[in-house]
Amino acid sequence: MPLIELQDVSFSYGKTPAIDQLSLTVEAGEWVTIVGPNGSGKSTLAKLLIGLLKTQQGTIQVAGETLDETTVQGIREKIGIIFQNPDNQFVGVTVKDDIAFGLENLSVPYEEMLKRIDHYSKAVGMDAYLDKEPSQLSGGQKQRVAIAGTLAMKPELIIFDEATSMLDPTGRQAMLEIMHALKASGKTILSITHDLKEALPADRVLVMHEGRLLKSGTPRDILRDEPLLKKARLTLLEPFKYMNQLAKKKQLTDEWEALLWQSAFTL
Amino acid sequence: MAIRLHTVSHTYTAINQPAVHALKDVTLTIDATDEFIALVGETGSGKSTLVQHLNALMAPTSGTAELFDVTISAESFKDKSIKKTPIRKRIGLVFQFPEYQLFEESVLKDVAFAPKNFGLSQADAEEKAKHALSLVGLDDTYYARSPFHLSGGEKKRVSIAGILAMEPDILVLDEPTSGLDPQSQKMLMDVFESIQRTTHISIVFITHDMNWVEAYAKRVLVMQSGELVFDGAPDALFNHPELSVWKMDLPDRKKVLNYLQSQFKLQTPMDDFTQLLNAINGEGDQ
Repeated sequence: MPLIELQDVSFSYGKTPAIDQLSLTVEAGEWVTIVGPNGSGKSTLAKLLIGLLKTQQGTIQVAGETLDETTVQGIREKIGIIFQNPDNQFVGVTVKDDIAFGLENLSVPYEEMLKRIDHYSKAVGMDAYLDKEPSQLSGGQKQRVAIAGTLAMKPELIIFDEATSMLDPTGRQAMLEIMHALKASGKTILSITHDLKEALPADRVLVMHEGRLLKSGTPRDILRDEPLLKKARLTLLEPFKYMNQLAKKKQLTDEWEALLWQSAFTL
Repeated sequence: MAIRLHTVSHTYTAINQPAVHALKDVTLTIDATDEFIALVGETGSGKSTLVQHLNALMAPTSGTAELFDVTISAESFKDKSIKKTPIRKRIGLVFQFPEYQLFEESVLKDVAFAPKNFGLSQADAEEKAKHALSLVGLDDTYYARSPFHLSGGEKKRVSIAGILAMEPDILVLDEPTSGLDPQSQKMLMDVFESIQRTTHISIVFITHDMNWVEAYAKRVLVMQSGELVFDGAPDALFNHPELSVWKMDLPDRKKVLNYLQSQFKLQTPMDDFTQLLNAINGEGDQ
């Protein structure tokens, strides 16, 4: 049984559909990266999954349970979401309070709460800032706090909705490491992004465009597909440009392909 | 020089909190024409604090900021007789996510708002607005449209036009491409380049993306822990031994080429992939 299953889901804000008869599955423990341009429906999809928006057509199932008014509360506890803009999700007076906020709602015992605050603030590199107020933090630092707060609630599925787009290279790298650790610990990751670098470590990449799924495939297949990425307003990463350059000249050996694939992980 | 910061320090203080030294002795000058400067540095390095000193939104805790003919210091900032509005008109600052500040019912009205506010008639303000919109690549089909129904990239362009309509000498942009997809980011950077080329105003932009620094900036400023640690050409930065100490990234192209170069144990740095291929294949290609 997949952890997430969408069947013919549609949603529109006005006349134009944001999500158009979308069907997809995410298996438990899988790392799925959804890429697509602004306005492709990626964020709408995330909001549908956590029940912030209601499907107008089709069904969403989470761990076998159909998402509706009666199940939304239980399903929300299984899904953590990190949004793009940290200012919209900082609720605490201090960093520590902010991480504790969700835990208090889940009635986590005090000792355990302190342990998790310690662990996850370290994981995002914000342990030296626990007593700081949001006004003393930059946007990127607030985002890392939001991530710690979400991870502290130990959700099964974590949705990263453009969550790294406002982080600096160090912050982004730290985030990717957290994502790898989450994957290793058996968590399911749904990463929504237009940064193709975040598609590299995924098990599967879904390309969205105008509310539809253009293609689903492995990172190796998707990241080389220039016409597909162009349609989705994305730009080929350097190593895949070189792969295509060699392929055009019929010089793309297995060795070159392996080497260039490896080089992509330096990005 | 249009902007001259002299040993500018800025310290944030809050009750029961240790002081945060956001800027430490920053000295730099920026010309009023033909600069294209990237401002980089890791999160919390002081970039946003620095740009707020460039148009008198903040006063230095110590040191002075000469902004055209006005000198801002801790003391003079409190002096009501020193008007800051003319400075902010000459040095236009575009905040991160400026599209959140759009509010008028049409694109043209939104862009005309600032020049009108600075005392121009409706007709003159609209003339300036039309010119500013053409600079950001939005034609007359956009004038009557609601800014709220535009794409992310278009909204950003409208809000940037709003600042351009004041005809600033210097345009300062805080992470202008943030939140946009790659193609919209490139389109916006191309817009800045064309504005710079056609109007010769100076542009300063904050970014984390070294690909944009490499492709567009003529000069790059690196901030680290409130200090200005580098001021020079992008190429000089990418070859600087302290690059990793400053937690700076390389552009994608350089990262991949460096990796390949080390795999093939090649000594000379490569400019592009074709050059690397030629070096690997040896004399045969010459």
